Amino acid sequence: MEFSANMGIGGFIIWIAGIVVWIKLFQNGGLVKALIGLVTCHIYTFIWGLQNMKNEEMKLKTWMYIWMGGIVIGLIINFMGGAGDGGEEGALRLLFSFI
Amino acid sequence: MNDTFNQIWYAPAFSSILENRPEVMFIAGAGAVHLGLRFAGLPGWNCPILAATGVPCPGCGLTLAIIELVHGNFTQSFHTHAFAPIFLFAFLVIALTLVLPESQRVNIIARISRFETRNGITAWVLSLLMLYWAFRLIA
Repeated sequence: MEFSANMGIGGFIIWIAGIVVWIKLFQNGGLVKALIGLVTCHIYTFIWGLQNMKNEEMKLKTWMYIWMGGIVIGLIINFMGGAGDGGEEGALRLLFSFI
Repeated sequence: MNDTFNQIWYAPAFSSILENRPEVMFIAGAGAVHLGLRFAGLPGWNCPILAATGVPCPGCGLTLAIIELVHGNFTQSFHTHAFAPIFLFAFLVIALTLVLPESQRVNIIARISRFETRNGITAWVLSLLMLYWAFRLIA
């Protein structure tokens, strides 16, 4: 198998947000739920984060906003159709390329 | 030490997710949208771990494998991800708990909780999935 990382700066920040939320899931939900978060490509982590955003003690709000913002930007870029083939759209896509 | 291990291993994790109805609705909705997009050949949720590290996470390929399974391509599905039937079953259970009347929903969740507590099935499945992932990375 051959793998390659493909991520811009924006993607990296969003990835960090995901890792922070996943660590909070591990601390509050336990190992098994953290594994569920991991094996669902972080979909469960994201949903758990949304569910617990309002819990002030967990301090998830900022990270979840970053994550959601990244998804929205990624969707917009994808719909714009910038496939990394040059131009402004290509540059944007490179910046947020993992979304 | 042994007690701590038992608490983690036999914790009813899946049923505790099912108990939280809003969370279940989110999971079913997100799962349906993701599967629907992929069925239509559109991009769905991208795995952040794969994108960040270039290494697929233990669940990467599950969506494609589930789609192949639904289409009846069992061999192809098995080659893509061997855990697809288990995750499809879990997703169907999640969907079922959403549509069942409250009394039946509570009953089925209690049964799943007892099953998990008795044999640690969720921890077993996830641990085997981690081993399968490691094997796939090496192979």
